[in-house]
Amino acid sequence: MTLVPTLELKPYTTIRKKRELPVEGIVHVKENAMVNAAQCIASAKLPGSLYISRVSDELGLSHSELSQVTLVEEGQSVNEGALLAKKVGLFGLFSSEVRAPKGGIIEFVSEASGHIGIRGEPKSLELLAHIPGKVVSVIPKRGVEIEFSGAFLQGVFGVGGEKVGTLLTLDISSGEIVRPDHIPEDCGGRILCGGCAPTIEALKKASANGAVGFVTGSLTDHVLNTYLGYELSVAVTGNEKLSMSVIATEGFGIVSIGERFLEILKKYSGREASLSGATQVRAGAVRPEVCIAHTDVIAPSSVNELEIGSRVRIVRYPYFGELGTVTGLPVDVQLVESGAKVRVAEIETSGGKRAVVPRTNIEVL
Amino acid sequence: MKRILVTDCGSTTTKAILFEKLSQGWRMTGRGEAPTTVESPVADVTVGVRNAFEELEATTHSKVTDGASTVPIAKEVVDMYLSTSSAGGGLQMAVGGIVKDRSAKTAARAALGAGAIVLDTFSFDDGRDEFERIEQLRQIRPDIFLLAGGTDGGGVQQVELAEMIRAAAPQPRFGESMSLPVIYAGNTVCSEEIKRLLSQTSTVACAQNVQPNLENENLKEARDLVHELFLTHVMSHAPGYKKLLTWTPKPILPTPSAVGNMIQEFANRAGVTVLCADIGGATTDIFSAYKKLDGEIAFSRTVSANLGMSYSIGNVLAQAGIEKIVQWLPYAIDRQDVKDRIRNKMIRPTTIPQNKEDLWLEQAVCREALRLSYEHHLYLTQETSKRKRGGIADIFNQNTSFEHLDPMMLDIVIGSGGVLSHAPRRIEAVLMMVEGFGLQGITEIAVDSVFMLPHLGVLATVSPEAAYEIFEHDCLIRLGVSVVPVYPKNFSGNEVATVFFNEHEIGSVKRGKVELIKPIAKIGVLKIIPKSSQISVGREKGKPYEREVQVGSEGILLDGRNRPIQQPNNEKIIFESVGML
Repeated sequence: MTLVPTLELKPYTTIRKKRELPVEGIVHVKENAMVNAAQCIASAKLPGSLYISRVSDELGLSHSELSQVTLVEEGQSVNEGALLAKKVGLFGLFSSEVRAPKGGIIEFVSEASGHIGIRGEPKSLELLAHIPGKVVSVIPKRGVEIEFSGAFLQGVFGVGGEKVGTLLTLDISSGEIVRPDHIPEDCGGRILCGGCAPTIEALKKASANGAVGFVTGSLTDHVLNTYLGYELSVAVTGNEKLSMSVIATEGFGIVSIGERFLEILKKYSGREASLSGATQVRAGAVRPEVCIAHTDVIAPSSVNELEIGSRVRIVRYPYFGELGTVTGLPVDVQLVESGAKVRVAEIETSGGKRAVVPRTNIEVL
Repeated sequence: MKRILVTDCGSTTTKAILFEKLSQGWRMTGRGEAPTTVESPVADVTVGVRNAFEELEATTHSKVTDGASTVPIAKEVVDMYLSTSSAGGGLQMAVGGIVKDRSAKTAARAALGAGAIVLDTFSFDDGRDEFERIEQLRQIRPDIFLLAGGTDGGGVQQVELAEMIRAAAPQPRFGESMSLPVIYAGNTVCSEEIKRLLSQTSTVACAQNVQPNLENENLKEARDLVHELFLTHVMSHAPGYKKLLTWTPKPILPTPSAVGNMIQEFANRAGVTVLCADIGGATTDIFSAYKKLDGEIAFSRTVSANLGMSYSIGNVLAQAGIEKIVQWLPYAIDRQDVKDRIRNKMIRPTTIPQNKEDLWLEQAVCREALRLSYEHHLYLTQETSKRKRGGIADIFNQNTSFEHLDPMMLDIVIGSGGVLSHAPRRIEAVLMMVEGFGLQGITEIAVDSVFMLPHLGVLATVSPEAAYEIFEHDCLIRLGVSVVPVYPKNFSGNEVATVFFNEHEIGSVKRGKVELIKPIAKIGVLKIIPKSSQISVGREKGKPYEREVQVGSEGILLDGRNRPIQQPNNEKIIFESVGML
């Protein structure tokens, strides 16, 4: 038996996640407390932004001449538009000036750089639980570790950050391309699920109608780049400023949403779910995920071992996206069409075809 | 010692090889590979290593493991276990400086020059609020942060960026207890203050200021430090490595260092100019060794950390563009389909092509990854040469030879990495290297037979003779020789050069055509006579050029396409010309 890479797809499990502030702050919950996804568990006061005004450059002076034209002092409070520096030209004519781009406190006046720095108002940052569960430990001044029980599903690729919404399964088949007419007019706060390869119009409509998440079988490269507004170069995502995060369960192209994935989403349609589109396809990989809290305890499935009878998904052309059952695992390497000699698995696909596939091209379900 | 078991833990695949001393000498006697398992849910490199051992045992029917022991090497069978690793994948960095278009940009150039993917560039005028920068830095989890800012004796605001790093305290991708390596390469006046600020959260190393004054950049020391920290801090903290270290009595060598060892050894012993490309899943390493005018061997290595065949394949697509990739396909295919397939390889890096169409698509991407990495290598090595010429005497000495790798004078190119070493037909590897590198002149082409250069490089640390014996006998597979004259764009003749092998005319290079000739003799003197004084086949334009070559398994490829290869390039005809279709 061989362990093969796979994605987590657990109808019921218990996981722990750390939730931490980016800076030290105040933790608002105690150990053993139960939290909900939208609950603020910690907060921090962050220093305001530092705005730099390049005074010497703007006035055409050398850096060391800054003090001769500066009208403010370090520590002084200024409003947006306040006069920071003024240079008077020959005979008092042609004066030029620099005004504060934002309000705040003058933090530095640097003759080394010719810059004046203004520190804006402090800002507050709230950290939400994102997943419901029990606080199992508190990290002082930083955050908590939350224990979550329920369904835990990983997609293969996603974009967009953390979102919490209500699951809504679309009324389409798993292999149908999602078009704008499949998108409900009112999907505020919903995580839409189903189908595959949504058109860009469908994604835009869902986003415009208030959906916060979209879980589907696949994306096309074109739609992804259009949705993002740029061409993705490396598979490191999660920080895109998107009102709706998107997760593909299978990959790129036109591939039906995974049947077990959809089955679980359907079962809990109408329930609240926590979703993250973050993906990092490298060592220490991060995959996009959906967490649905529930208490329907379901026995864990067996370890992901490849053996005769295993249900598998083929993840490479020419059978990409097809599901099947392993019928044979020849020990010796075999020649495949590309000319390579590799170890293979014999698979009977759901459509009744017999396929011989490199073992590296299958995932155990 | 009679048996040594060696693994290379790549970013995609872990390869195990068994070397044995037989009556005829040291040989490779077994091999097995399995997906690397540093990713969750396994997150333990040793699982992939054990799987590779199992594959080796299954294919060779010999036992190398001891299942009962925590150290799974069968001591009664294997005398020593060694390993190399690049499973940390490519190098991902964040950089920072005071102003976006000045010090931050210089820092980015230094990081890019070191072969990094720059995940983000932080500066005070990057349009973000400070808390957003802090949050972003925590999210992206760079391997290394390069902080610059201020000329020497100039600006000091970069100290605030150090405060940002301290506030974010980003967790590196590997090693929960490890602190983020930070390289400070800014105004030297602030070095101590920045070390002090970051002492609790980071490991700070200082390099010379990348911008000591407004006129000059000084990137080399920062670049070297980036390479050093990547090898020592990042790679060694990948999941499971602590356990793996207990299995071997020797340090785990970074894969590029091991390959470099072997290439240098070869260049020194054979006295040849060598170019070697090791194309992996996340990175492409280019090695070159050539003889300088003073007779010394100059050795260079560059890492294109964002050009690879799986994790970084999307970046090859982004950098090269779809048209550059599809030009190498011998069949018509929808552009969108190509992009989707490339993206699927990106998100499922361990899959392999099952049919020819899919195989040739990966090979097309490989050509572009080689091209881009080679350009990067030439740019960086030439830049290094220029900087070394910086003295006053050189300004007046206009005759100083500009020493660098001359593509026309390459003796041999060696391809390594799965896509080249495992190409099902060897001629496919020949074409990938001829077209990817845009080879010129007379160049012998070889591959690392089953991607064992890393294994031999680490073996050489305990037995250099054994390593070189295996290199010559089992590793270096000579595939062929390419003959590529370079001629002016307006050259209108049909024949570009006449080709002789062991003094017999064997053909001619025809403008725009490709032909494969298979002489009976495998070693001989290849002589090329150009048809015009404007055509180069060696160092001197218009002059005949000859040298001894080993023909290899595939023969002599006469390539009449000018360099760079002109568009439109009909790859279907090229495939037919060499018998692939």
